Amino acid sequence: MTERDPIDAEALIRMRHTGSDEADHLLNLSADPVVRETLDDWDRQDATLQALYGSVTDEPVPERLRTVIDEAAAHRALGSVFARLAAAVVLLAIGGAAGWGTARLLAPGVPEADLAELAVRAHETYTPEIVHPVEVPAERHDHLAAWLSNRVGMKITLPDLQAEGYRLLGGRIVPDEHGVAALLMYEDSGGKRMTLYIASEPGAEETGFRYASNDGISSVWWYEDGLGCAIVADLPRDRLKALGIVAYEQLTAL
Amino acid sequence: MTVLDEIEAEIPSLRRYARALVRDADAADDLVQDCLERAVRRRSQWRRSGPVKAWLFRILLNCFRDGRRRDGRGLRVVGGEDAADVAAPGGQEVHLALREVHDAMARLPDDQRAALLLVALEGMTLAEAATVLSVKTDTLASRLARARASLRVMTGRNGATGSGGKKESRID
Repeated sequence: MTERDPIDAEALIRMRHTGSDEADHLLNLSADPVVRETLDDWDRQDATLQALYGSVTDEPVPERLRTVIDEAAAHRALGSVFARLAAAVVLLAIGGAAGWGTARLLAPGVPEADLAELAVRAHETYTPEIVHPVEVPAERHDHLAAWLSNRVGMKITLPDLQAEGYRLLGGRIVPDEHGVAALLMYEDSGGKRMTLYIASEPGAEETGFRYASNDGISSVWWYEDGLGCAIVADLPRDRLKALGIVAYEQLTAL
Repeated sequence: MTVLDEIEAEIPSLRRYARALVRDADAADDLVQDCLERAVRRRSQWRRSGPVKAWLFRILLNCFRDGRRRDGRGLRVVGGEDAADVAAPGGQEVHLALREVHDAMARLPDDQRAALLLVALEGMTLAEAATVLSVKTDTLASRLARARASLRVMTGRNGATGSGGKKESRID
């Protein structure tokens, strides 16, 4: 080892990797042939490493890595919303002749809350979509109704909520606990979206409206005639109830 | 941009660094996956006190070290990716140089290889790399000087600032 080594090497390293223009400039000024040769060699080392491994960034990102991010994003929507939904569920019973009924608390984890969870999850998944929020647009009304009815396994009428200020954008099918559910998406004049989730629930007891809300997301759901339906939106309770009633009446008509 | 967006944006760099570090495509992506899972779990802990890249690389290296501890000899892959597959202009001489450097990198101790790749491949400054590695810049400068000197010797470029012909690389 010469006297100048290793101290010079470390000093050179420090200057070369400071990331400052001044340091680079000073290095370029060096006339010492040993310094020059060393720096050239280090440049070659860097260039070779970049040639060896640099192209990895041009590769498509493997799906399993994208999944880590995607699942985290979904969890953020589902985990926080539903955990809070389950913690704060209020029952509104709507009797027939008896009129509007009592509110009572449902215990968390009650089975019917699964419907709300799935509906909220579907809502959170698809309402942020700008380019393709629905799979079949409302313009293809008859096809949409036929397709959804066929997949869900029961006749579904697409509720017309124009009088309530909501136009139908279209719909899609989504997985449900026991099979397939229909998801209809509506939008008001301000661009705020609301979804109506319709699943086949044969044998489910008919219920009054159930309501839950937490932190900006609310849902009203009910069971009727073998269907489980849930409306999800960021709306006040009364508004949701009103929409629920209109939807309920149209779905049970015919 | 959300934190998740910022993390996602760094995936290509993380993959590149991991590929160079462990020298096998699958093992590298395993390492990146561990890193991402850990980062995503702890993302609320990143207080934007620095660039997300440095935070992620630190997590990646922690995962790498944990893997090494767990597996004993760990992720050192003998052979691994064939550098001769790398296309390079300049013909055969450049080919050999790529091969030589790829093989030589395997013979560097982990901490030297990890350090050198941060500055040489990822373009980090001394200060940034020192933060990622949790070492003082002096320590890092010394480590880099040794790594570069070893690389010169192993690729047959034993110039005046080499370590006098003594091979510095150890094979654990």
